[in-house]
Amino acid sequence: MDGNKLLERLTSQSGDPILRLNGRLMASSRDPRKEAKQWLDQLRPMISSADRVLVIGVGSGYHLAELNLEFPRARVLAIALEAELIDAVRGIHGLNVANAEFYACESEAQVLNSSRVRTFLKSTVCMASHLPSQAANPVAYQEVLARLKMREPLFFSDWVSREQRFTSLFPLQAIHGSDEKSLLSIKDLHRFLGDQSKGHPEDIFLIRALTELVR
Amino acid sequence: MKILVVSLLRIGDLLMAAPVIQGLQRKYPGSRIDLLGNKSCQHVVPLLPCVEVFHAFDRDQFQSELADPDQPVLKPFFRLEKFMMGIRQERYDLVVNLTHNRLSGWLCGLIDGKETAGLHLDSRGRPAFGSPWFQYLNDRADVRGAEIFHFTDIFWFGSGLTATDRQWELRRTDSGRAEAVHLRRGLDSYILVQAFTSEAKKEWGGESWQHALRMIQAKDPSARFLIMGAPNEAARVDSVVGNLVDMGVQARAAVCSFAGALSLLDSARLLITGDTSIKHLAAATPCRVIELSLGSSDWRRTGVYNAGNFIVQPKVTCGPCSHSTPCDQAQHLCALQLAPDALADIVHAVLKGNETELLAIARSHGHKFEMAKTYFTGGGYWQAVAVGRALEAADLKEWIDKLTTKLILEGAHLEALGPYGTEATRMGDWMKRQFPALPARTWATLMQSVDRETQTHHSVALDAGVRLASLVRASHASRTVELGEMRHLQVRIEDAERRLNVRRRLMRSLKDAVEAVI
Repeated sequence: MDGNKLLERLTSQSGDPILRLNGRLMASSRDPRKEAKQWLDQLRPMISSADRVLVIGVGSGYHLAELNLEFPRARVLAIALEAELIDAVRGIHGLNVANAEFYACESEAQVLNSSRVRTFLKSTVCMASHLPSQAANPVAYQEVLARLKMREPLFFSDWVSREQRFTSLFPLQAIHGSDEKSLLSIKDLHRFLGDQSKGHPEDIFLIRALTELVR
Repeated sequence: MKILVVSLLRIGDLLMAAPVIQGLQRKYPGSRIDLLGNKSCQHVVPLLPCVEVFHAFDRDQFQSELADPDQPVLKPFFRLEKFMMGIRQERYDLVVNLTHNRLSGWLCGLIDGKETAGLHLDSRGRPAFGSPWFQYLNDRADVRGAEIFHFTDIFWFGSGLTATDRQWELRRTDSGRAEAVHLRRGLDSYILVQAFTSEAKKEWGGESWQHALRMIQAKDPSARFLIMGAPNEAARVDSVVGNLVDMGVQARAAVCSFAGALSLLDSARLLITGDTSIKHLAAATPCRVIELSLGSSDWRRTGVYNAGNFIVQPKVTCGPCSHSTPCDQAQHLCALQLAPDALADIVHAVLKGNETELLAIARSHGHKFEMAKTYFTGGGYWQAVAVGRALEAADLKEWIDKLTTKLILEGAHLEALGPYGTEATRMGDWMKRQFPALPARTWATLMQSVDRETQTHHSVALDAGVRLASLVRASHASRTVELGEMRHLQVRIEDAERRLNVRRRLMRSLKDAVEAVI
């Protein structure tokens, strides 16, 4: 374990084991299962309409277990910046999180290195944040989220440069020429296409059709 | 054969497509017809008898994901890709786009059917229409002329359907029948009222409705009213019904689904409605309809698509107004122009089937509003004809213009022997039925007047030709070429010559046909 990180295992008032990272609880100290149900309640509509679920933060794993219980067929990938936390969650829940894959990324900048993450992002993904996990390292997790959303030109170009399908569709110089402070929308992607789009015609149709929906 | 019909607008638009869907089924027996439509219309799909698979386009979800900065920017892209690839894999033989907006154009371009009728775009955004009828729809999108065809007719002919009859129906459901039985409990005879519309501009106003119904009740004490509304309009319906009951009107609420409304319409004496999707439901039932065409309602394009119904449109200089902007008048002029007592008189006359009384009402209120009766012409398209007005050369010109347009769109001008005789005979028969008492001499005068007017097309072509010649001379002198204007003039000349040619041939046949029947 990293010398700067202190991971502890405690027992909640409900009797369930929970984790504490650097003094931050990774789940409710009263009733982590109830907390997990509430987390899922908020996300249920989005999860129902998605093919895959990308969970950012593994916490003490109760939210993943709840997700598994209610959506046993959902394809779930849980991302954490701390590999030790993933091991500890597996230790608590064992096979209860069987449908969840885990990805421990070494740093926020490398989150898109994983082909599994990129595969998830190429689907109708539901991005589900687990706030207690992120509270342990808020700045880093915020960047992870921003990279996954690709709304900032820098992070979008990072994605485009990794995905061959899009490198010809969205010329990098066009993306780099955009206002770095503003968040990208479909209209920006339409603008990036330019007059001489070289991507797959199908992709051009899709971008242009979506642009019509925001007119 | 696999056919996909695309209708990505609202429920009323989808219902207007129903005759076309069934027409396709009759033209291609044994074919499978699927529908691509907005998810918000899915509760109407079970009423469409021929639709096998409904591809629900979740516009709301796409729009919410596109607008939400917390969603990955490409999420709607991948969602749309998955949705469209599912449709594309069906490998449709024929795609019929009845939507005519750019979104549907891009989607139809992507579906890549073996054949496509209706707007579809290529990857550079260049449009193709698959039929001159859809090109006509595109060119006439903003035209408010009298010669405009009804949308359903454009869709019908544009889809390659040529039959002149319009046999179509909607499917009644058990739940709809049960709903209707419950709502009309104890009533054998009732008048349906659909007072609420999707746009404030199209509304007549609660007070006007209440006064009109009170007057109808006074004229016909046995009248019973069911005030219709969708479940989300229940509070408004209850409020109107409460006021009516206080005024002594025998009214009750009929909040129901579309399936319930359809079954209610089957047994109703009459539907009085604004420009609503309920009127399109009614067009598939024997129920007579009085449609109040207010605000942006353009009855020439979207009027109740059946014969024997009435459309009332106030005469105001600002109407029909634009769909996209709110009413810019200090008062809702078109709604004020139609007085409740006038509607009560019309309803009374329609219920009694008294055409003479209707004629008198139309004449006495002719300065305030126009009343039109709906027909299917012999040529197989819908037409509404003003009630109470003497036949004028302008009316005849409008009908001949419309028929000329139909012949051109069907390519009659390219044939040595076009279907002029057939069309003229149908039209002559139809005109005789509309005006049985008109003397032969009046017919002859009117025909001569229209004949003279035909020459204006020649003048248009001539003027454009003179202008084109002067442009050519100027370009020789200045060594610059006004290509844009030249092309425009050339199109005008070709168009005018085409119309002149078709109309001359049509008029010749029509004169013979009119002489034969009158």
